[in-house]
Amino acid sequence: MRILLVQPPLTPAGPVEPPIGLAALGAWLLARGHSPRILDLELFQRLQRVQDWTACEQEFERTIADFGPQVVGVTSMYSNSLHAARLISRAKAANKNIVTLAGGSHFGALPRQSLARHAELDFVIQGEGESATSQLLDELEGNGEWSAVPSLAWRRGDDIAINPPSKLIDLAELPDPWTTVDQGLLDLTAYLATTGARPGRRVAYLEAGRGCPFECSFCATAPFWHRRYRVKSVERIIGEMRRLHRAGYERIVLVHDLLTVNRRFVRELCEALLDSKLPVEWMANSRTDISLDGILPLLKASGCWKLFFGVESASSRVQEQINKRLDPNAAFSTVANLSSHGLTATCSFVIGFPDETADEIGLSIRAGARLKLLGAETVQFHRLRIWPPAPLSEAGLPRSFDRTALEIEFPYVDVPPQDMAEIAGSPDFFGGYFSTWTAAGDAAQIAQVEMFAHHTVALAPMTIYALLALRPRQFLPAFYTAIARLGPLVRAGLDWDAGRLMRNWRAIAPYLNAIAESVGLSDTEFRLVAALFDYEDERVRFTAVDETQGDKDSPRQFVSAIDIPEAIRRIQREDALGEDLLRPTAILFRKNADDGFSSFAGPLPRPN
Amino acid sequence: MREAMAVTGYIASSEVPNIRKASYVDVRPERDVSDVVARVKGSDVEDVRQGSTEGGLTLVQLVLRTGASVETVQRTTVDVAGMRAFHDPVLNRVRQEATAKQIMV
Repeated sequence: MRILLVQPPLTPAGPVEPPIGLAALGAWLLARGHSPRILDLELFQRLQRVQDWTACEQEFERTIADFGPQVVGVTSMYSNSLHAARLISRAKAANKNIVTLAGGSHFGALPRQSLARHAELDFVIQGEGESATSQLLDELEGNGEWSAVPSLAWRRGDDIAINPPSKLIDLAELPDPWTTVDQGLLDLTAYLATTGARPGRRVAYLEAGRGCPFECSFCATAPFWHRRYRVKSVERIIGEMRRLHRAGYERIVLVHDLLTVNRRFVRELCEALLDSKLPVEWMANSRTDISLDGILPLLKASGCWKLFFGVESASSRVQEQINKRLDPNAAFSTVANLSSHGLTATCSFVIGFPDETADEIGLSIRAGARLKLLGAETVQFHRLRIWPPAPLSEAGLPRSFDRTALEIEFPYVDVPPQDMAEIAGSPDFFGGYFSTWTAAGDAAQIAQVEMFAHHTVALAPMTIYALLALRPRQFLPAFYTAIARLGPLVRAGLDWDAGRLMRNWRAIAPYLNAIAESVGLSDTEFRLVAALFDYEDERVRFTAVDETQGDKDSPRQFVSAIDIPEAIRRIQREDALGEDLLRPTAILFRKNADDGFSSFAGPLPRPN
Repeated sequence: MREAMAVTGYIASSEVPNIRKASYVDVRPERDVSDVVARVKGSDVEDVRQGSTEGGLTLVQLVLRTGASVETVQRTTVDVAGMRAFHDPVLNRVRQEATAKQIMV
């Protein structure tokens, strides 16, 4: 059958990666004799260089007219499911005989509500899509026995029937998703054209496997894959990496909820990658309680550059509450160990869990700052979002509409008023855009903490660490007071790719100053914090010099009021920051030929 | 499976065939780092695992004999005389320590 697989627009800007889910499904259907075509409207829009939903709809209609699909299948997340629904309506308007099908993380998680809301939607597939979709196409060609298609939600008269889930497939049965490139369904050069990255830094995603065995209460992904860990073979992954490298990608994100849970597999993968001599870098997800001791040099030798860790919270109580049960201290030793092997990390925290206190959020921000100083490349802060089928989505927590949560994720910069109203009026269907109550602040305050912590840990981790170490209980109330006095941080005023450092620094520095002035620091403590702030101000100005002056202000030499190398060591070890650190120190920053930086410290020159 | 010590990093591709015959080899901890290297005697190298080659540098893992010694050699330029390099992780990318690490072989 001819089936058009559609990716609606996802994000307002940035590189577009090849859609690995649709590639896997397309390859699966090709292997079973069907005729799929992929329409990636995210790519279309980026190549058009204009955000234009009307143009997307027109492209969709052109494709339908050209291809004449018998089935249109649309994938979507919560952020773009309104657009997915509109495409489904357009498909029926173009030809009422087209069968419409939806899947993905939103419609697939809420099949009954999806069919009830959208009269033009014929079928929804829950969870893993490959087997169910091909069986549905077989039934469409055959007897129309919908009840025989596992994981399918369908209309039975006035009712909606939901079939039992399909057996998870053996990933060895999945054909190479990049056969879709050979068959003309995807054009990798078009995706590469959107990266904007310099050679050596072009990133593609590759599905290494599926499923995480853990049961974190806030996670929607693990139950989506039935919590069963599956992984593709080492040979298969390397073959796909080789294909992507030939296409021009040098950095591969191995997509798997928790790749490193199988240490033996990781070892085999690294050994094979090293022997393959493939000049690519790769990263994957891990957990801080998974020991990689003894194989980190192998990870480094195989091209691994980074691991991702969901740390979530630095509070043991919260760790228990969310059923993650990580030892908060494990994150520090893990990141320090990675750094010594030349590997970095992205560490992600979630704030705003039910009953989470302001002190506990402060603990997480302080941990994030320390992780940054231990070598984490990025520390992220996200406020809690509850999406079905996460266990927490069934807890009946009181929630209120979180407008900015929607604005962050919406595929267009501005959310049209009618879309805003539709989502705000549908708490059951768009649950992730509704915040739950937290003891630490209201939804607007937690959104401000999210922005402030994210950018301040990136630019001034020492200053924010010191404030939280010296006055942990006063920090968040002081931040809320600063927001009230200075006005809120404005998301549109911040650069989220951290490319324009001065813009972000100018936005957050006044809040840091306001907090330092209002948390009741002693004179010595204030001098310590001020000295760290001044150093970090110099560092931001040095690294942002191209942005501010257009030339290279290197080397840059100045006097710091504090012994910076020792302050870094103490924060890394979580030792106390005392008055003895207040020793004037000469600092020199230098830009290196390889685009990196060097930093030097020494005693002040003696006066002549 | 046993534990061993190894140095992982980059060396000039032309040096790879003669690693064990060399009086010593300097291994860069990162491709773009040359101011600090791990210095290993060729006779201390028990096994060489060779990875990718790019820009005249080859990724290697040198498995060392028991009792081998590794020197960390730091070079400093004249314009920062009297000052010591320090690592500010916000300013500098993470880079591997130029030392031998424990591995499982």
